[in-house]
Amino acid sequence: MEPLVSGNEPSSPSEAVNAADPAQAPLGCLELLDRAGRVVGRFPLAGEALRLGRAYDNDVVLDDPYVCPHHLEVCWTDEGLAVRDLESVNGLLVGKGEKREARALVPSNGRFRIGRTTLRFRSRDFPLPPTWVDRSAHSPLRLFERPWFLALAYLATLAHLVLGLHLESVEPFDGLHLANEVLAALAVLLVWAGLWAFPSKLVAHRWNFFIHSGIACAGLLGLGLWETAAGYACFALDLDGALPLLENIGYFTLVGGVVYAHLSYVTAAAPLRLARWALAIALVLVGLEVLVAQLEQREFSDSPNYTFTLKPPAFRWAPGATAEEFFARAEDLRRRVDAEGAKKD
Amino acid sequence: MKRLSILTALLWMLAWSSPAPAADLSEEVFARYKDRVLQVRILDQSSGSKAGIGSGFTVSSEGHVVTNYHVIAELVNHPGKYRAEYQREGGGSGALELLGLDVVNDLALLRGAGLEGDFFGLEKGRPAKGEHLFSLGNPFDLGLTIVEGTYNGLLEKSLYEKIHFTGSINPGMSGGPTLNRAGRVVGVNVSTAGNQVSFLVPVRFVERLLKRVTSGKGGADLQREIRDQLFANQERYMAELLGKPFPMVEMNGFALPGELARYIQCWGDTRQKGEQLYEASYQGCASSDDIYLSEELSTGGISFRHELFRTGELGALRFAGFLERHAQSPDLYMEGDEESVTRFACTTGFLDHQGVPYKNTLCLRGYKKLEGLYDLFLTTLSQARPKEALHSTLVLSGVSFENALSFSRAYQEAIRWNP
Repeated sequence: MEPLVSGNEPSSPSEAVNAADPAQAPLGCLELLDRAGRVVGRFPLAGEALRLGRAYDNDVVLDDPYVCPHHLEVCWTDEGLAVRDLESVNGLLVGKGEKREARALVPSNGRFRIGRTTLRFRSRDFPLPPTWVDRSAHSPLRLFERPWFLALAYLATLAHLVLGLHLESVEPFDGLHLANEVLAALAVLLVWAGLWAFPSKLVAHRWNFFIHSGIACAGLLGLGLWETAAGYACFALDLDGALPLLENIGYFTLVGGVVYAHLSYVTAAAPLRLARWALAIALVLVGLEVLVAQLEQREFSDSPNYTFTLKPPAFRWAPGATAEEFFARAEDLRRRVDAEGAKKD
Repeated sequence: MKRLSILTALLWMLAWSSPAPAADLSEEVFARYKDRVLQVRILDQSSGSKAGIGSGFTVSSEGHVVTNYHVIAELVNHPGKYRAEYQREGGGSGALELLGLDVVNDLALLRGAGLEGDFFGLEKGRPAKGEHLFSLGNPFDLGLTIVEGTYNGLLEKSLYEKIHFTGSINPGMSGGPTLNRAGRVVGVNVSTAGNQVSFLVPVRFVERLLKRVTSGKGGADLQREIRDQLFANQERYMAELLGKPFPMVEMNGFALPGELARYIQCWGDTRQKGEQLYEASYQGCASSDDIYLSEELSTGGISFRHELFRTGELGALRFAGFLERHAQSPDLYMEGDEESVTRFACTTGFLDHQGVPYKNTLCLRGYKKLEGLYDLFLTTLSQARPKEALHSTLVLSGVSFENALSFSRAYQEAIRWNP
């Protein structure tokens, strides 16, 4: 249960930073923390003593049933900020061991607890981290907020999907089949966008549904284009064996990018932190896929499994081997199967 | 009275010299020889339950019994897990000991305790075409049965010599004898194609196996013996195949390997499925029989397939995409389990031969228990013309590495495009 606070008009964290008149400036702030340590309320401390408790005649009213009506007094001494237990039921708990004390001095950045409420004192000269530079105005991700870009992303994805289905088909145009496939892909996209819109609403208080759907479209398009490009590159250079690796590099980069873009519309966390999350999620997703592929490869199969790319001959760039050169590769195949045969014995 | 006696004697002689009806003969053959035919049972050592049944027959006074290799293969493939025993029609059973094998001709020689005594004689000569024969065995575990049929010569289109017997051999009769009127063995029941088309192993292979085993050769290391027999067999037919130029067939400008030997038969057709925007002509060629090793693996076969795809309406990208998917999932039937073979190792790449570009995949796998034997898979695809492509696949099973390599390369080099 999070304590609810009322009292001397607690300011928001951003407001507390803007202390206007230096003569009237507070000596510090008493901060109300939630369980994760985030500041949920801030009370400027001037020279006077403050009383904290559940009763409405306190300077700071705490809606915590474990707090007494008149629980604690905060006052300034020559030694600094002092807190005094007003003979409460649950007392004043200070320090890392949460030792119960009748009175204690609280250094800057020091914490104490009354009932289930944690408070922190920070003096006015508490050092602050450097101000973040806001680069979001120039971020390419802002493009997803523009309707024309979203429309372009939808159209490009649709075109790619239709073209892909057409190239895979060896039958005459079938509108119904095409519509089914497009609708199925659209449904997946919408579900994906919805999955991101939900945390957006929870954390950023905005659905950002169209933005998330635009990001999903761009991701899908990117994956498709990467797969196609990788296939053509492997065919051109006669490197079919490298195709799974190239595909995984593409998956990793694009999944990481897509997750980063989604996260940036869910939370206002620092870009580096977002990048770390995106990297971790991409690693897990692509890692799982690689793991499954590895396990499948380890499974015994009585049929040959191989990667084979084929494009129109005009895309071929690498020279062909002679029959002698090509069949000489069988020696390596023999070494590999002999090694496997010997291992099983 | 004397005349009557002479007349009676003449009538008697006439009756004796005319052939007896087949039904009477069957009755006589069955009654006379049923004790020499056995049911061969493969029993699970731990539970004692039947894991397989077949038939067998005695071939010596020392209790030697002949059956098919495929009846007793589990004894070799899983030594210690199974045991073999015989059961006589009139009762009586005993243990069987495996002495030797002819895996290429699907024969096994065993010896049974308590089987000393009567045995079948082996016919030296070949029966005349149309000669009446009698096959004995235990179909479907229904008890000893006699089946009448006729000898129809040796199979002409078979890699492994077999007698064509027109009679109904059914599962469970494998390993049983087929006799002539004189009660001598002419062949061993081995397989059926249904509709009274059945096959026998010629008795000369029984004689050869019996001679080899009784002279003390073989039997010590059965896996090694199988490996050596298979190795020698593939050397024989591969030398024959590689010793002369491949007979070729023409497919729309491509000259392709055709019926390479009398035992390799080709079938082909041209098809266009449903509304598909391409036409496929194909020719599939395969040797007609192979060698049984276990339930999971047969070997010793050659098969290849040429497919020519033509399209008028598919563009270059769609056509190439179709060929790519097709080449990745060839229409193959490969056997084998993890116990007997390794996984395939493959390599893919471009190959140019006589000015024609190909994209090839070559795969190889080894036999784990039969050292030096491999299966090879080759697929070669050529887009020699913009709207036409050739896809050819080759599968060799149970060959030495050198033969696999020589044959697949000769196969590739034999493919020619005549513009």
